[in-house]
Amino acid sequence: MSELRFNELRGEQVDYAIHRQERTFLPSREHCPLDPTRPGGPPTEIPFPSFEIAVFENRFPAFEAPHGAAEVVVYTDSHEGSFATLPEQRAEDLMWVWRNRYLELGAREDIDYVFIFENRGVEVGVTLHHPHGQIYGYPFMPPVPALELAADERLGGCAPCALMAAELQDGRRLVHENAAVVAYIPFAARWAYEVHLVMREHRPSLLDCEPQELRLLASGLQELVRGYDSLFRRPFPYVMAVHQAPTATSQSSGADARAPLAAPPRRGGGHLHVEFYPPLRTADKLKYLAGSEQGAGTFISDTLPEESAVTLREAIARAS
Amino acid sequence: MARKRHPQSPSSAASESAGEERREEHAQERFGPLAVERHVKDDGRALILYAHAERERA
Repeated sequence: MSELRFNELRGEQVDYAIHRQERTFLPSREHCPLDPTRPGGPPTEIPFPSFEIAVFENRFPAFEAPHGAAEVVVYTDSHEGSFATLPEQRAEDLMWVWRNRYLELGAREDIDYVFIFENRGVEVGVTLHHPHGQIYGYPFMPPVPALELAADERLGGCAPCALMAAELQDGRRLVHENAAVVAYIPFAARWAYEVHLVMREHRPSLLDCEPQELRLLASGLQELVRGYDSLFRRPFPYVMAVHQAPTATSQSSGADARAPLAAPPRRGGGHLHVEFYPPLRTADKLKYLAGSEQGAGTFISDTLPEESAVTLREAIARAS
Repeated sequence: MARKRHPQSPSSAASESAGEERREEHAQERFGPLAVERHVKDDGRALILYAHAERERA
């Protein structure tokens, strides 16, 4: 069981999950715990000889009931490949899996924020190479989405809507568009190739999306990640963060009341978008969080978003 | 005011089974285009398998 401690100086929660020290770390190809369990093979987390998409409770959870959740989402039973190489139908199905988990975890009393994410590459701490993502159900409102809600207040409306409109008008930092999503390197990106992929319409969460929008969300994400892989002609490490409306009730966190199960959350804040934080600034150089970033909280960037957007646009075009 | 549910294991889950016959018993639930199978692993953790329903029916 993990323990939450409040860091008074920073005003933030720190989660102590010391059992995670023992979690599986870069196992050999033949001992991947996310493979299906094949006849005569070693047992894995999924005791079936094949599957399409599997979700299970993390064996080494950062959060667990009755104080949150930690789930693993396995995209395919194939050990090789990545989100970018999934068949289109599988990627679209994955959006429906995310939607299902957001609905079910968000309905729980002990979960205030459902966070879907993927860590890709050893550069961001991946311990298993099998294509997969994760979901944390936080028993409190974490600071980054809280900052986004604060931006709504500051801008007097939906911040992602306003920022997307500004990026569309400017145009220099756009990297990809389709009928449902707009992707751009933000005006004040922290990372050289940081991208925000934002729903064109105001959709607080996956539950508010039309099926066609889910299909185009999957398509947009795959186009972007294929472009990333093409950028330096190597698998591109990143953290992918899905930001949506909080699911907290007024009783648990002071937010607005939440709609009944099977209906979208009806609180004020949140606009579904996916943020990518890639640590590479060149093909072989990583951006490190050092003195200014960690000690003062100010990112120092070696690149301009407008220039990064040109090269990333070209890479996406090359990959499609 | 809407009430949220207390955490629980998937309600339709039965004890873990490694057999395909067991999988078919679970293939009744649907979510959008997906067929959903709920299981509980030997150590009590939830496992959910999702499959594209058109393919599931084929």
